Amino acid sequence: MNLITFALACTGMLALCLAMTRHYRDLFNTHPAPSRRASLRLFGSVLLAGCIAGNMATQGMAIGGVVAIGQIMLAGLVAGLGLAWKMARQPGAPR
Amino acid sequence: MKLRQAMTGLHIWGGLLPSWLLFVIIFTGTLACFDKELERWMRPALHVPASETVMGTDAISTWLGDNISAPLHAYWMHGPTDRAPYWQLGWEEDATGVRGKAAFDPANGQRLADTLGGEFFFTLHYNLHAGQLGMYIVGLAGMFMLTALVSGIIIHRRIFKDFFTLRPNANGQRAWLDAHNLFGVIGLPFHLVLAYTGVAVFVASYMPAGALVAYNGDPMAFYSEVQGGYHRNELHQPPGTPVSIDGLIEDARQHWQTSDIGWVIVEHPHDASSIVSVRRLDPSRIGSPQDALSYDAFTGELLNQQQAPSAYRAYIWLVGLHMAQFGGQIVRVLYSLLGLAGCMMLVAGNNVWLRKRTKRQSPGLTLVRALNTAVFFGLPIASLALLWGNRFIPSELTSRTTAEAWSFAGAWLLVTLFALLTHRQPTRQTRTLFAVLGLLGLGLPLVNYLTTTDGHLLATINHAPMLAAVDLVMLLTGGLCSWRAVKASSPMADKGIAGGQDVDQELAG
Repeated sequence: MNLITFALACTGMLALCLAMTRHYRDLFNTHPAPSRRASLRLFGSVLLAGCIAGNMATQGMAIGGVVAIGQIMLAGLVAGLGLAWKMARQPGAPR
Repeated sequence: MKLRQAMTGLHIWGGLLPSWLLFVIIFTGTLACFDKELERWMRPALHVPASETVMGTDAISTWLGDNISAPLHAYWMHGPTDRAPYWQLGWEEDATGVRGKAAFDPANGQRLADTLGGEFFFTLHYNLHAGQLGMYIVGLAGMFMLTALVSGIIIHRRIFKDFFTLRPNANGQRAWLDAHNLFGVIGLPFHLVLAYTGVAVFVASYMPAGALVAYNGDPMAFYSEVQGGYHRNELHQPPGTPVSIDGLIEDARQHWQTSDIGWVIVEHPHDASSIVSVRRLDPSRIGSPQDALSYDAFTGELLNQQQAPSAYRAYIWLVGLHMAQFGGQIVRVLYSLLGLAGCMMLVAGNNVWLRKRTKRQSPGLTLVRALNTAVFFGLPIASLALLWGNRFIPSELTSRTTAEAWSFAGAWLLVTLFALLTHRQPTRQTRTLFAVLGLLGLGLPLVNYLTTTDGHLLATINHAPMLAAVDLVMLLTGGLCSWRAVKASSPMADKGIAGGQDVDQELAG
């Protein structure tokens, strides 16, 4: 269950990250349409809510909440570092 | 804009000056998430699969009576658990206040060889092994951390726009600033909560004036009332015949309908007023339960059940949130990884300071660089050296813990000396230190294999996954640091230091 909720958190944070124009462009080399950004944002929020709900359902409100927030923070770092790692592998890309 | 400027100065200097101390605190706190696992790793006698427990509290009381002649103020015992499968005993002598501790193998009642254990990192985390003074220094550093966090939020102009931004190909200062922001901002809830709750643990000691006035200068009266606990003053009369403490524990189990018992505390055992308090162990909630049962040590009569006021329960909840003894390993894994993010925030922050001033040749550059190397490399290397020392120092040595402490301090002094001697060749210095870390990390599971019969990776992976995890994290750390040492001369060297440092600290597991 922890792995599932962490996967939800990672996907959710990545979606939120890609809802930002700069990161979307970094990854796909195109400008995202506003509707695409909005749907990514919605998708990400739903997944994060799923992560919180899943943790709270299995471990109780208090401990589940702590675990969910921890997983989301870690997922944010994974998304940020992962994107940077991807960028570092594309030399010559305009910064 | 005036506020932002003022906060910038505060953030730069209020962050830089305590940063090395904060690194020690955060890094050892990260290791202390797994203090019990490290402690077990450092006691090879406990690497065998857990067997039937034959020892109880009465046997420990007997051992104490046979081996410690001075009258005791109190002693406390904790039974074997999954994470710490051995009996722990601590005591305080009445006249001198000297404290001692011992550990026993529950399978045969033998006293285990002394080791600093994982507790070494825990104590380093909260008082730097400097007692009351160290506790105040750590508290001050924690308050500086809170200040730096809040001022950091104020001066960050693009806190949401740059939320995920890390541009490794940008120039050095920009890349380090991105890294500082990434680790700081995404981990912010964790850093804030842990800094706040960390300071809150000893709040009564940091601000004692109110309690001292209200309780006529008697802090113990304050603590006793605040905890809703039970206390009986000494009668200065000879003790009777103590009842079996194991029997009292059985009674407490019946009372709570649980098998999980925490610390058992015996107060002034050599006086007629002696009481035995039994505490409940409940990792299923954040704040530990505050409903200790107090028994008369000679009649076995239940005298009191602790009724903690809600303020104290709120305080215990904050402490519990900091200590991460709830919710299983997932919480500790998350805390340790986010703790590493805190370490990275400090490392990156100091590098921003350096990069910004390198061109100007500001004064203090050499000092900051030397301190960075000595602390950011010194502490991880010293921690690994302590684990090496643990395996190589013979278990029959009388002052074994002192020898272990010297392996830690000696390694750190050597790294400091090395940092001073090689400060003119920073690239070579970084490379060498990564190589040392790599060798120490990779070598440890091998040493473990050669020096223990049941504790090596091949044996523990089946029956003690957390012991195996210690070895696996060592292998991972060692592998990544070695890779960094080989790669450190490539054009990506700047980034490499960031990536690798992150990994050093993963010896947390």
